[in-house]
Amino acid sequence: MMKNVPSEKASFFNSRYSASLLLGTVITIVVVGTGVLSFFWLPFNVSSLNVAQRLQPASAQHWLGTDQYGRDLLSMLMIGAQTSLGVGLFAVGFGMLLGVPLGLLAAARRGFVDQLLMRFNDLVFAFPAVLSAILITASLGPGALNSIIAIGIFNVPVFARVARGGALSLAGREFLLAARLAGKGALRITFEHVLPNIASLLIVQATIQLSMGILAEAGLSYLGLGPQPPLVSWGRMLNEAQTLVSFAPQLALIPGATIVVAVLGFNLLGDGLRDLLDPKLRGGPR
Amino acid sequence: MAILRFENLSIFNGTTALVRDLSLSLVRGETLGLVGESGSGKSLSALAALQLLPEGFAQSGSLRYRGQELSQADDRIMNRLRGRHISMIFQEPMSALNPIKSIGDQILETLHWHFKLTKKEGRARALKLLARVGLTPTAEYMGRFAHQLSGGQRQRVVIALAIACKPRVLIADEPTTALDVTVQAQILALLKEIVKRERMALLFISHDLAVIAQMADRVAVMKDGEIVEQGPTLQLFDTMQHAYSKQLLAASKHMPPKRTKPLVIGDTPLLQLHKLQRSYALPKQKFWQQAPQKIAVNQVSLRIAAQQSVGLVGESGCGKSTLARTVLGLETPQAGRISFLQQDPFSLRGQRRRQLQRGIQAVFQDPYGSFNPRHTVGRTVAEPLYLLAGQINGAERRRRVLEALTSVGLPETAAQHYPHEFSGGQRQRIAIARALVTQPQLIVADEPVSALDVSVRAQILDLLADLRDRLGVAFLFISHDLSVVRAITDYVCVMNAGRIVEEGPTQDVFSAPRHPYTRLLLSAVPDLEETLAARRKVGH
Repeated sequence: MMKNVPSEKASFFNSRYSASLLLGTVITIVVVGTGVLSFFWLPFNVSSLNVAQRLQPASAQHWLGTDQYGRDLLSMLMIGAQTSLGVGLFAVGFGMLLGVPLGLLAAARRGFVDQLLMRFNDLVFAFPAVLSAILITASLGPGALNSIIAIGIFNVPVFARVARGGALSLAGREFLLAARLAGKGALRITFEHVLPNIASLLIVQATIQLSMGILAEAGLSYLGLGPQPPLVSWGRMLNEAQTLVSFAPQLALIPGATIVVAVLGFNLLGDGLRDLLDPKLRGGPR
Repeated sequence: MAILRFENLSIFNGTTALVRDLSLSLVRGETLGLVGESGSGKSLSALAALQLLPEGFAQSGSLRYRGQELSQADDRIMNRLRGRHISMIFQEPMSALNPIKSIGDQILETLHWHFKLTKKEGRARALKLLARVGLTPTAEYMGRFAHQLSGGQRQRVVIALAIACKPRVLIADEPTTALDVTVQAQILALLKEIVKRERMALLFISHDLAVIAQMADRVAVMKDGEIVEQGPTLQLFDTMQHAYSKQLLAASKHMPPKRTKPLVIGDTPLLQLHKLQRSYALPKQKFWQQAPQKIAVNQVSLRIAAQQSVGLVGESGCGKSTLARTVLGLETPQAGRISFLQQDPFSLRGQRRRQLQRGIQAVFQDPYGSFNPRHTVGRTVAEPLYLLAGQINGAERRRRVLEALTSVGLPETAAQHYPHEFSGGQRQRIAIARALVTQPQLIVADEPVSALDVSVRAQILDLLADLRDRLGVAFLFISHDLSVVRAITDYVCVMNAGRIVEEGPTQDVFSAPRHPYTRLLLSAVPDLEETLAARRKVGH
């Protein structure tokens, strides 16, 4: 007379290691792996032009074909991963380094400081991120470093909010009182007790912000405001394919698909990590 | 004939059986008490009666309501039965009520769903219900929200919702555990009266034997998912058969040993509070108004001598926890003086403040929330030694931690494990070890046993009594549980609305309370012996 017996399928999706985590991890490893590989080895050199080989279709020699200057598309994608991931990573790092301390400060001080920081946060949030990134790079000048700053600024309020929320959810927990009784100051308590307990939140957010960073970098590069030649990036490849899109659409489709897959991969990884690390979704006794 | 009958009901989570072969029956007008410690399967059995088991749980065996098999029933049938025929009162009234709907709307919704009443008829019925549970039957009251009511009022609303459709079976799962004793007494009386008048069958679940003895006609004792013993209340208590029931009874009557040698109180107090005052700003009602103040601690004066164990009792919101935090130096008093070892901790800074703080440590209520889940027990216990930074070396540190763990009855190997690997009682031992590690003169214990099961509670009380005698630590023991305070303290202060209304040696206050509030508090505590004696007189 058993009922409500969970089926095999249900238990697979209920398990802590979800399909999205698995898929996200695989995609991320492939994307990051190719980027790292390109530091040591590339199928073809992409800094020299070879006009005789221009606009070749996919072949055994050039797996994805070549562009209008005869450069190997696969090699371009691989080396482009360096720039796209690099800009995304540094931008997220920039956002974390500024945002997390601000969020923790707001949570620790509460009151006026909290209000001031968070309203300023709201102000930054209120601007459409990509539009403002365009404004910033347009005024600072295009380039990899300025892209990092422009995208990074919009990660600051995201991390400030996550860090503040996480820290506030710990406020009033008795182990923080115990630490104060041990004579520890706010800074030490933050490092010893608060940060380790909100680390999983921050990691999940960083993964998701990374995917948005990649997308923003692609956007900036497409408009010519991102990293400049000779640096290759996925967005830049899209930009260069623009004029040829009617008779060589693969030049736009291939980097476009790469961006989609990479962004999807990081997003899935972030979602999967959230499910994995969220104590509310964790089975068993706490 | 039984109105609700469990027959060999087992409940599984995956392959583990959480409830095994449960067989119980309830008849109209009868109260069946289900008693057991946490994790014994009491609440799961109650949820099974409403077919509200959590996702992924499975059941076997049979569950019949007036002969109808419920374990096979689909949602359509259960929706008709739930509320209308079988209803439930939950432990925590705040989470049982919808925070964004007025209480009137919530009652109307229930009435409408089952009876399809018109608005006018519904309102009349809802007002009657409010009066029935002792609330003011006005339209204004109906418009209130859960957060505008006190704990006792909320639980009355929950009861009103549960009896709105005059169910035949009422299930109450620890309905008074979250409430103060004086409110508990009112709610229990209300439940008893309703069940009698409406001839309902009540399944009353509690961990508290005294409450069960007061409420139930028959009692079933549960342990690890099985009923170990059941029978008519008086008979069960007087001729207990099963070892576990006996153990439970002994634990709930357990008193830790009294002081072995009498306490000599010196002239200089260890801690002295003089007209201490602390208030909070409440949320502003209107933007341009000044925030209203709530005085949590009002002109409180208190003395604790070296090695003395002082109790502070009072109901929730009376200011006892705020007072504790002020004593611990976690909150600054707004007026009044505090001196510990003849020094005002709030006037000291840096090294000297830390030196003074070493003498006062704390044990908190929640054995789950008081540890950083990412630190090992060793690191957790060592934390207060930060106060002695620079004075002791690593070897001394380790020695102190192990000594503290041993003195609370934990093995030295515990230091390498994480808090989640320990049971509630063991965690509270770890918390006590953390408080002992600096060898303090005073430990402030804020409700240290109220989150624990009775058998564990008895062990922790013994441990605290032992530390009091062996190490000569003074305690400020804060509790809403009068029996605990009575058992372990030399001197007691009764606090109400921020003030100490009565104080004196524990024996005197408990045997001859002078203040009306103390008397009220004492009379509200359910007493197992008294209840059983009264039952013996009437013969059942």
